[in-house]
Amino acid sequence: MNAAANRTDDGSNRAYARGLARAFGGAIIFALPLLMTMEMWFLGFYLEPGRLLLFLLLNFVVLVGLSRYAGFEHTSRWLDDLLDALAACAVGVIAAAIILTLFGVIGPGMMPDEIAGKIAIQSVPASFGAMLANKQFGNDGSDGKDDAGEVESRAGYGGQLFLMMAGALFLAFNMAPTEEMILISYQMSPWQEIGLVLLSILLLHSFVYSVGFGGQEEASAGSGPLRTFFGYTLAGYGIALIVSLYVLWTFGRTDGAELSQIAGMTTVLGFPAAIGAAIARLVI
Amino acid sequence: MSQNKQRASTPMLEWIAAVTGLLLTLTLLVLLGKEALLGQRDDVPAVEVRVERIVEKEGLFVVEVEAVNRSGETASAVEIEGTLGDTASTVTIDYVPGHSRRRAGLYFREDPRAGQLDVRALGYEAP
Repeated sequence: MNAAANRTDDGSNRAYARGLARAFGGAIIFALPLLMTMEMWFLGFYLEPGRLLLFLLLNFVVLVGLSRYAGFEHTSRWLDDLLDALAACAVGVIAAAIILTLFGVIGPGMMPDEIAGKIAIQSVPASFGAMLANKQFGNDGSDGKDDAGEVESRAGYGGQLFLMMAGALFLAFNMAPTEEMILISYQMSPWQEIGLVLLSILLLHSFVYSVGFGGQEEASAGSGPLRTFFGYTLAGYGIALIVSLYVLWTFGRTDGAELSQIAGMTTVLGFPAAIGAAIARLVI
Repeated sequence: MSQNKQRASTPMLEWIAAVTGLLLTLTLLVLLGKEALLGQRDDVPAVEVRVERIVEKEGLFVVEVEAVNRSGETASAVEIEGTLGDTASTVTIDYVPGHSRRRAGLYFREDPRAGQLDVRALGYEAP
């Protein structure tokens, strides 16, 4: 092997190591609030395994989508996205396992099922952070990203909806494990809940309106404010509601609950979810 | 009629997303509105407890109970007592939301099927 080849090898290895360090940093930043939440440790063993598995699979799909749509550059091949998502998962699992071990949340003497459950649920926000960290700060521009993506610098309508979904999922997931989410819905009267629905929509719309006209979107979203409201705000709130309901179901909050109770909980969780959907287009 | 021209160029996906969002939001508002207008405000929690099944496990008898809240008000810290002869077992359920059900278990050393088992809710705390 000649000297030049060695040098490029060193260079790409160093770049990869940098990327990996970045991913671990992102994983810990995004997962930290949940890593230090007691309810999240318990969820690992009382969550229904089937629902946890489905949630992990969906998280993987979201990671693949994030790899495609997030950041300033778009990847060209689904294989790259798949590999990116797998790497983010690996980083998420390892980061969660290390931190949980240091905290003494997992350790010897616990059942493998319990340890696996605790790590698995925490790996969701961690892998999310790992993916975003690499997307946001990893713009080396030389790792097989295509040029066509740069021409269409922002995702299309479907991509926008996806980003709103990812943002809603992340923030809803951050809030849902705590008992306060449920308690708040019990404390609220139906009128207060209706007020919260309207506030959620208003906030979402103001974000959509102020952010939505920055770039190319103005052309794709059409000119009418009415269309922006229906196509982005209401569609976004619908996504936030679906995501909230799904997260509540995953955490077993909807089991044995009556319809109006479920509506109340969905409203409460839909508030952070709507804000997550709104800022996703800013942050991601 | 410029509205119509605009509609013709609206992608299918945008229609689906907008209509879904609209329907979900309206459904939510209808559900909440119904509760706001028709729900009884001065209701008190009414928790009824019934025995679901009795299982023998590792020398213990587990009485699985279900607490059903027949009112629209949420009860928290619901204490449930099961008495069998002169022994009593209690359990506390964190929340029994209105019109909802929660499950819990009571342990007994003797077989509850042999004696007179009685289960009931002792009280609640307003959330």
